[in-house]
Amino acid sequence: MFWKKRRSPEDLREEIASHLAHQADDIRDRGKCPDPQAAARRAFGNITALEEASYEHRHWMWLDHLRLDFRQAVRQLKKRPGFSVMVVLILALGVGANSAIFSVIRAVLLRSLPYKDSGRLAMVFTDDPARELHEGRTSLLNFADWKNQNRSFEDMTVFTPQTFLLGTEGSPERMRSARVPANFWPVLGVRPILGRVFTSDEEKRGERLVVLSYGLWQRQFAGLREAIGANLVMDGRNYRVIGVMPPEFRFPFTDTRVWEPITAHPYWATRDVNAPRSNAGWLVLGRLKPGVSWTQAREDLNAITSRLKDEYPANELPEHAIIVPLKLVSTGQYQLSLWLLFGSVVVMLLIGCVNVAGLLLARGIAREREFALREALGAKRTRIVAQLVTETLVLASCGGLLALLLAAGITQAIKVYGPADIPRLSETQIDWQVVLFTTGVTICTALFASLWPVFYSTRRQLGSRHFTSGSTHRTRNFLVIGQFALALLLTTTAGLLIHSFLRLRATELGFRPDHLLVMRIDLHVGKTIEQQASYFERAIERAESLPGVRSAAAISGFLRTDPEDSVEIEGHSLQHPGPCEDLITGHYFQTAGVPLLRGRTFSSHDRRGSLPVALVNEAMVRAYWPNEDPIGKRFRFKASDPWLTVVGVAGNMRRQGIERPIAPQVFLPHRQGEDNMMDVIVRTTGNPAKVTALVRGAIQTLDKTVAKFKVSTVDEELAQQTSQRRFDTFLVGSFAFAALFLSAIGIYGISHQLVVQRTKEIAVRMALGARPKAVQVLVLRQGLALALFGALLGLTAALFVARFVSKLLFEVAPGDPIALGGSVLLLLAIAGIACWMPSVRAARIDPMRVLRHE
Amino acid sequence: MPKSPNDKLQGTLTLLVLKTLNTRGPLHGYGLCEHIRSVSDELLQVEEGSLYPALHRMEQDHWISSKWEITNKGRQAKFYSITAKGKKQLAEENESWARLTRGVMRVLTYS
Repeated sequence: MFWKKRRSPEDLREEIASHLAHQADDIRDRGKCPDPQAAARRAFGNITALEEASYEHRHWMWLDHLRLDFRQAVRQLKKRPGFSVMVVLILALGVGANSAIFSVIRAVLLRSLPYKDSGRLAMVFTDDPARELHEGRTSLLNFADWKNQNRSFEDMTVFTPQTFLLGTEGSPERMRSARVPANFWPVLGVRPILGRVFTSDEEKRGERLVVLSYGLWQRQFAGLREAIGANLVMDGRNYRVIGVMPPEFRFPFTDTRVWEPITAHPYWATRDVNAPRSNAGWLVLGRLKPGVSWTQAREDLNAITSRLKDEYPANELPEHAIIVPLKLVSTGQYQLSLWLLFGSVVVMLLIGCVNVAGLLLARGIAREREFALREALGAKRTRIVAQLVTETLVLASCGGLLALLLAAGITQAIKVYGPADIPRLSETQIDWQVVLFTTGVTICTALFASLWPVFYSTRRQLGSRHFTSGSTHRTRNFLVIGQFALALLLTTTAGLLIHSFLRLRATELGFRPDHLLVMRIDLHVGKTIEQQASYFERAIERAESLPGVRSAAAISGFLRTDPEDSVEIEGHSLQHPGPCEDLITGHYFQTAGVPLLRGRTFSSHDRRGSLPVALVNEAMVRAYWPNEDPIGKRFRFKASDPWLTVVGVAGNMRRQGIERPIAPQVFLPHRQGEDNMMDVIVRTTGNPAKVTALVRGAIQTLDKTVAKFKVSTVDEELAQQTSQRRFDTFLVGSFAFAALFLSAIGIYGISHQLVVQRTKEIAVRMALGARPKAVQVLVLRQGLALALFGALLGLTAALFVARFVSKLLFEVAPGDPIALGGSVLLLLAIAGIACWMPSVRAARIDPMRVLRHE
Repeated sequence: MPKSPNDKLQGTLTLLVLKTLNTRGPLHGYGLCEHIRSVSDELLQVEEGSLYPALHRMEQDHWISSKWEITNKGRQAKFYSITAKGKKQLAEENESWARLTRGVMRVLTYS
């Protein structure tokens, strides 16, 4: 209590002197005493004790001790720079990786969405298992019934993502928009940062108003306030800008640029206003009433949905409604992999902890005499413990600071190299919460790592010399076993992911992705069907005339295709779902590198008015005409379509995503269909990246009104598809590598210590006739036995954990023998290498020298 | 803050010191010891080792104040006197002490 009145030691001393003088006076007055002063002092008791008590009373003793401990700690750590640097580095590595992954998880998963009370927002999807439809869309009529009949939602809104061409002159640019009603904004609880959003009256009148995203406002209007009231040309129509949303508002997609009233789009009059109940093209978002659970809301909407299905049997309505919290919609698919990463870094940190504990333990044993001496000189046990904890904390804070730097580096790397499709990953940052987390983890780690050594160290007695007592051995063995079990857990997980990744790389694509360029070309809406077809034919011709180009072709969607809703094979009833359907033009199969297995490809004779023809893939044949000759067979997608005759069979192509099975696919000639947006593919003779500009230029000059497009190599596009998996595999793999390294250090340190402490014993054994080889085997065997035991323990845990990550695996079973066996062998090999040096050292012990020292 | 092992006696010591200073006026440490010893017919022996820390604590709590003065024997001594706050504290401690002894007596005399 230093703020209270201070009393100096001199004052106390004078007071005591005065007391003694008075007492001596009294003793002298009573007489008979030869030395009254001495008698007074005897009567008074221990003056020093009183002074010390007074000192302790006046001071914050623990602060005093802390200062002393701190100074002592720094001195101790400076004396052993190798030990200190090792501990600091291990802590920095473990804690830094944890902080980095934590900051990613916080940015992506933990932070709430930038909407008012976002925890109550949910998407409502339809679910139709019979048609393999999940998270399906809804029709406007169904939505109206949901909205009016439900009792669980405060309000519901509907929207549909759309694209538009921005610009008036030159090449326009295709961008994402969203058509939304007026209550879209209040349901989400967002406000524009500039201007306003549209009202329900304006929505009813179908006024052409538009709310801009922050990005488009910056780009198109340079962030000026004058943007409000300005004109924006979308698909050749004039819209008036009325508001700008804040930068963090990116709904429904991260690249949604504008929001317009549902009714302003020409589709409203032509398609939507009288659309039948089966026309499911809309997404539904609702705000749950407070106190209503997700289950209640689901039951409520399910009841309405099945009632509607019964009411309108002709429309084939979906059976169920499912409610997905908005947060899960955007991040659900990343949760497992992010938590896996977090688990990996935690395991890595634990391994680091064990290492640090091992180092501190070894250090504690080396300092036994020092502690015993301190205790003998009157240090309390609590003071010694405090001193040790302070030492660890000093090390930990150095480690923590370094960890923060490391975390900043790792998050920066993740932002740059991580998969671009993880939402809000770019918002990862080291903020005060991450710093708090790091501090917490550092302190916990330090305490955890120092706990055991501290209690062990202070149990010793002065003069006891059982340096290699049974309990020390047991503890160290326990540490090594635990460390190897954890390392194996991480290595097997990494092994499973790596194996999955290799399997994915080896997947048969069915086409040759190398030397192939792809670009999505988007024709202006104002072209006739024949103009569209001839444009693509000319573009292909133009591309093929370029040097370095072998052939070119176009297809509706090269690496993106979705199954049709239904198919009717002649002679069978309608089936769900149908095959994928794509229009092609040019030498498609030759360009893509897909073999034509039977029949013929399309020719210029396959045009409008001639017999409608189709090519199918092998999967289609297997699914619908097994053991039959498909050539000449007929099918159609809907009862209202004309019959299509199969004229050829092509090889299977994995175009729906590398990880998905190959679906039945149908190819139709472009001249017999209609499509104004196609992927043009170009096979090059040399490096495809070198002709990119040439191809783009050639196609762009063909028609200036064609929207801007991007040319990329197919290899790049495929890499994009595997980026998430590569990210997970790389990170977990790195953490596993670090874990192996730490474990190797751990087992090396411990077997080295063991050899040092058993030097005398080994010397005696050798003096009694043990050969160096036998000693070496003894040390090696001991280390390997621990590693093996730890590995087996880890294997049990790994089998358990692998089931949780099985969703992240590709064609690899959770109990994959290659990953599991490989990890165990790798671990044992590392243990062997780590124990080799100490074993050699043990074998080289010279019994004469050691025993003479005794 | 290190605490003396027997708080109960400490509390009693505070009461004795306050009471003595209240009735006798300013006294130095030795005087306090002597007074308590003689008044209690030598039943209570105040230990110097606990008296001085107690005095200092009471001074920090502003129950007593101190001043260096010359005794009538011509020696320097630190005189303690009770403050207004100390008097209030004395009344409280008196009351709680009376309650304690009353309670203890009741239990002891219960047959």
